[in-house]
Amino acid sequence: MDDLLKSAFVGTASVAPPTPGGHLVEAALPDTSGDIEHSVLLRAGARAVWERAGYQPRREVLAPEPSPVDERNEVSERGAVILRLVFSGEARELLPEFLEQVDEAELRLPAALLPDALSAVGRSHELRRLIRKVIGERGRWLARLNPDWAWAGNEQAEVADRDSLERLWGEGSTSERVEALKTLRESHAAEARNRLEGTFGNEKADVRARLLETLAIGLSLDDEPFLEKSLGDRSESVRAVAADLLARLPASALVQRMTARADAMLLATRGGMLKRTLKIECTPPQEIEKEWLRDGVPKIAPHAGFGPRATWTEAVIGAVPLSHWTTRFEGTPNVLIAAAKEDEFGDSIIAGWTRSAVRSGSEADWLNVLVTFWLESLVASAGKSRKQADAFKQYFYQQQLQSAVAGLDREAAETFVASHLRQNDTVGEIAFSLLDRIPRPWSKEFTRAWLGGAVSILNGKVQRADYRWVQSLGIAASAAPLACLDEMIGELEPIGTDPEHQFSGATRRLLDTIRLRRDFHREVSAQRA
Amino acid sequence: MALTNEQVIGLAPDAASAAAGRKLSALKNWEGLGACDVAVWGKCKGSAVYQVKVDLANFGYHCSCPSRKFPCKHVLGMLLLHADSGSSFSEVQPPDWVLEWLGKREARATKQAEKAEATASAPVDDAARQKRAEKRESRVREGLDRLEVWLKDLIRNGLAGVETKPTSFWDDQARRLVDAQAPGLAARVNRLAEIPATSSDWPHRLFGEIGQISLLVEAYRRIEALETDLAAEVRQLIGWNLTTEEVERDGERVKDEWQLVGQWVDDDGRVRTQRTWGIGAATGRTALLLQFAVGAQPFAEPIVPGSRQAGTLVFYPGASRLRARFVSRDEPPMPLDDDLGGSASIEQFLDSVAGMLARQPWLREVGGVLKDVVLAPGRPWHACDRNGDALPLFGSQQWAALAITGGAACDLAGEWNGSAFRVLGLRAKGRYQPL
Repeated sequence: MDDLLKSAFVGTASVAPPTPGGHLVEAALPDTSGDIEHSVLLRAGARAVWERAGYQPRREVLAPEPSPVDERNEVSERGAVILRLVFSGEARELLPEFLEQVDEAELRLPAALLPDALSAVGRSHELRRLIRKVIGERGRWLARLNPDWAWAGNEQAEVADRDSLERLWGEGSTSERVEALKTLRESHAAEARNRLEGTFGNEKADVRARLLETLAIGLSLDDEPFLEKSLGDRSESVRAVAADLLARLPASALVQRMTARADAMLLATRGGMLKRTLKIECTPPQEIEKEWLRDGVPKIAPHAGFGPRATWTEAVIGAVPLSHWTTRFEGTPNVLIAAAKEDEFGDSIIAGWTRSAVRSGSEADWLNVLVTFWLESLVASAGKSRKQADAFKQYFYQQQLQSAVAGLDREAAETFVASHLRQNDTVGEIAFSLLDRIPRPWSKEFTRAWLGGAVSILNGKVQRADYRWVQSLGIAASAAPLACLDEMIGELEPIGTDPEHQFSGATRRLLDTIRLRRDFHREVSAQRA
Repeated sequence: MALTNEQVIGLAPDAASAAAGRKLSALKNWEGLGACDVAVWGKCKGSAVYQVKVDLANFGYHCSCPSRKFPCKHVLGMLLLHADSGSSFSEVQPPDWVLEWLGKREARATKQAEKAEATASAPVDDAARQKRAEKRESRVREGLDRLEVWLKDLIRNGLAGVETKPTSFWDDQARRLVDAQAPGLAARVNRLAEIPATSSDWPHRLFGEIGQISLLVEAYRRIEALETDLAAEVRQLIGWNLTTEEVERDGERVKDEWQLVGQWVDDDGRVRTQRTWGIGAATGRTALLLQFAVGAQPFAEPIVPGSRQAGTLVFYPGASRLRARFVSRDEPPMPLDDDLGGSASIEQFLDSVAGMLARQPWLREVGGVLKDVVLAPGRPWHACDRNGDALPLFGSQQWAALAITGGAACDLAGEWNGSAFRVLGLRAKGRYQPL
């Protein structure tokens, strides 16, 4: 603070200002005839103008080296307009599709969009992977200059080499360490497990659970000792992961233990006229021992409306391979389900079988029967009394149905749902509610089936009381394959442009999303040619 | 002429309108599309049919929809469509509803020109006007006297004390100046209120601003002794406004091809001010085009950054010769693709600023183009020229600017405020990009 300012800051009543004439510009000021404050004010003004006019720029600021040259071309201006919309938040679910198309067409994102793109991606591992493919040299160069975008600074995200893996494992964020461990697990399963065991005790609970999940890759009995030990972990989420993984190994000790418990609970009898009709009865214990809890059986009920014994039944049976039952009871899935469903704990038994089927991933026969069973149960329970117990049951059946459908392979899932879409009643509604379990993108056949069902409703041929089917419009907008888009536009346009139609708004939104996809695809394809 | 996609999106009042406009830019939404050299038109089929027209000669637009956004999504959609597929605009002869509108606009423009002439030559009630003017002069003089006393008290008691003063301390003085019919000074006093809170060297900055206000007061007291231009400027700074007629009568007219290199909107909560900087391609003159709007109202004239507009500007009388307005536009605006005028180095730019300050010492913001600079990220960002000089930058689009240039040199357009350069646009690889 120079003397003049100091005097003004403290007050000229306390500190006299320095005599004028020292500063060059003050020579131009008029004489203020002894008015001290006036003089100070004018001098302040003169100095301010002096400083403004004499502003000195900074010297020798380091600018970055120019970016390396890109070989790929940028997406066209029209495509860029669409991308900008999507990066700014509209129809974000289309981002993965668009980025893939840009990459396939061997294009890169326009430079002006790079900051939006790099910021919009957030922490999603999948989006980061996709973005990396299309930012080009310019994008990588830019990312290296901003610490927030450091993750995009290098081409190789799939770090296959050892050094990068080590570095990520040692210094990376949790997500990066999980990815590194997964990569290692794919090629060196045992070593990955050993590394994990080594640091396990020092990791925080939620990190332990995420890392342990990576053992799902290349899971084998070699992993059993470590997993058994983890059944005693302090954290419940870790124990749950360990129990789930062990249940996937039919030869594991946990599965043996569960099988023994299940065998003790279930009893088969043959009744009926000719003593040929199989009946399964379930008698879960009144209390369970500590070992059950250690093996992942929950103490309290996860499903509302179900008591602890039902919960234990489902958990135990869920850990037993289905072949055990077809052998022991000598029946097909159909027969066994029919045999169990009348029992007091029938729903829980079958829920357990469902869990086992989904976990195994190779029980298509069982799953095909299970989905039908849950669908029928759901239909039967729908529209019944408004008692809470029935509402819980309905919710339970809905969840079981969704799990079972999610366990089907794509073709089976599509066939199952498509076959029910056009039905006029509750079944049709339920089919619509399963749409988000179908893997994406949908097949052309399935899309046509959906379209047929949706158009029937929209044209009033089929009545729907439930509004939930409208949500399928949103799902279809991004799940339908590109090949079907023109057809969808053709069928749905008349409804979208009809201002009287009840669903014209929702239909228009779907059409907007579809057109966005189609327009972008056209732009990018045109550039490829 | 067609605006580019980017320029049309730039016209949109907000992101939602841009998105809605894009959705409407498909051929199937339109019928009766046509274009000739003075207009573009079409009918948009949506929940109703809306007539959309754009005047290319005096760039303006109109849509029959009830939307309160300007331009509305129908105008945006049609312009986007025009940008992409001009050939779809097959009609050549404007239909009646377009001709009628163009006619009305033409009539209105002529009427305004006539009105300007009329007021210029009409006899005025001299006596009444003289009396009003004298009354104002004496009010202002009293207001300035009081302001000076207030400022001297500040200095006597010390600036340190203002840190704890409530906002009413500044507000009251500003209001008194408004009452004294000196709104320009009132605005300056209002700005003082923000200084103590904003930076660590606030005493220095506050001292400087107060000093400059004192110089202005002093200049007004000696206004007889000032030369005409400076006197006119001092009056404007204190708060006398010129009417459009006066500006057009007395202002300097310059005909050129004006490169509109940058624009931003200053929103103080009460009024929005659109500031656009233009550079004359032939004359090298710098011009500041100001427009004002209240609330969500649109700005009266469409002024598109990133375009070049051939036409005549009239500069407001005064010492700074920066503020200007269009009196005629000779052609529709074109995309700005050519080399930009501007300063070859930072030193040259700062020299020109110093020159302007010599003519008008209260000048705050000066727009311009820094040619051949590279961008350096940091806190703050800098623009660096080939001589090794660097100016600090501010704005929200630095990363986009760096991405576009890829580290290569570019021409940077913006507004210098005495301590930092607000980035408004850049030209790289032969293309101009507003930011």
